[in-house]
Amino acid sequence: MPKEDSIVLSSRIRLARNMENKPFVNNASLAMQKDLRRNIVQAIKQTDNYSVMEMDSISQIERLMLVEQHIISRELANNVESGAVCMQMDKNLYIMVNEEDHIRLQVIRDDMDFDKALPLANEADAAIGKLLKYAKDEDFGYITCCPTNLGTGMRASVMLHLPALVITNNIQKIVQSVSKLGITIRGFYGEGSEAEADIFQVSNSVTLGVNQADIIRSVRNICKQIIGMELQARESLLKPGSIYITDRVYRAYGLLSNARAMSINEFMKLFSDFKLGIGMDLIKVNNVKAINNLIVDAQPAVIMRTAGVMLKDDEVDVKRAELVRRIIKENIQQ
Amino acid sequence: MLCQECKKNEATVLLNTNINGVTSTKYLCQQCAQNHDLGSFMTAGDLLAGMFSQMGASPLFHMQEKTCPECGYTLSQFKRNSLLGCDKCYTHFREELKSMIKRIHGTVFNKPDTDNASKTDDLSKLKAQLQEAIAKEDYERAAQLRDLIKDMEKKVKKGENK
Repeated sequence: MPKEDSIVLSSRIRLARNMENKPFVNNASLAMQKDLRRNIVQAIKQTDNYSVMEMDSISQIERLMLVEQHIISRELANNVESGAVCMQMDKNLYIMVNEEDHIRLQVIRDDMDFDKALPLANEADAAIGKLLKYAKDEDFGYITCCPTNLGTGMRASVMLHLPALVITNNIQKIVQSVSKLGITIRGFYGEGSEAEADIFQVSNSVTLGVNQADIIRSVRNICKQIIGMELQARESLLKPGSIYITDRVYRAYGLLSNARAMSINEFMKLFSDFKLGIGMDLIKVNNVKAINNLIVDAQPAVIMRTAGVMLKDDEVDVKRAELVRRIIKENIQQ
Repeated sequence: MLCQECKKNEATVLLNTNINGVTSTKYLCQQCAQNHDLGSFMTAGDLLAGMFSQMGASPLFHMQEKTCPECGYTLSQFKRNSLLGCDKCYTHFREELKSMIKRIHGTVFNKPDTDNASKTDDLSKLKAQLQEAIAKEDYERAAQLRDLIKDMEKKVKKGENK
């Protein structure tokens, strides 16, 4: 397995756009928000084959599932009355309507190949921009509801699994030093969230005065450096004579492949150690992507949606343990 | 603005302290802030809140409430939640917003995307903008445009040589 693959979980390009001469979502009446949604969704559907989910026509579990799958943000899921998402699943292209901005278009990948994601995002954006008049300013570029997104309106982000930098207490220093370079490191669910399972989101914080190519270059460079540091930290953990990390990895493996009930917090913690073991070649698996998918598939709303019924917490814990045991059994190399 | 402790780095943290009832406010860089035992995860909200209290010290904010005539949004609302009311708020609150935007992004000028559009087209647009900026005596803008044009001309040349 190429070493980078054991660290990069996913990446995303996000473009924020707003319509000219319309109030932003936070300043629009409910009737106006619904009006905006109708117009925007209609335009998006004209450009290509999108499936649409309006937040008020799906259940709370479905909304949560979309958040857990990182298809929509918590903020959009909370806008039950006027939010919507337009999706092209085959392209991993998702457009949130009436989030903080009128339009938040995103392309998600399970690697960090921005050269493939960006043209897709730009193509969809340009098609929609022909039908809707985007708000733009000569100096400030694309106009966004919050000034932190002005200019390109673009955020390029990468989810990285950095357990060795956490164990060796280096992550704080990195978080602080990249902030000077126009880069932010956040938790698993973006702004204001915790770094669950030692997973961090690295993204550009500056969007104005730089163009798309500059943003991609800087996020990619910083990520490569962080990946290099993580790999170095992993090597330092494997010092001869020290069984600390091997013991930790095999304990996680033992519990994940045998437990009969597991909470999401316990799972995320153990999963980080187990995945570290895979990255360090202590544990060999056939399909690392199938293992990575567990991070989403073991989340509570996804489990309930798969089961097709509402479940109590302890029932979810049993289902989660079953799923984790099965996936590990199917993919582990004996 | 520069850090008030080391006076070298750009200040990104607002530190409010209260010692025996005496409150004080300092703008610090990340490094100096570390010495004060602060959490390391800064959100955009934290950063903006710091900037707003700085804006509060400026005379603009002591004048009567400014309202966007297009959408009715006020500067105080913006101060509270860091969000604006409509695209035209950026026109009506332009001067008030500029210094803050500069602190967030390091500039108040958008950089055109050369990857999507025809480079030569962009170049002539930029040259026209440069003339306009010089005519308006907006030298900060002119200097930036000049650099952009130089940069783009190099790229166009490279493309021709390929």
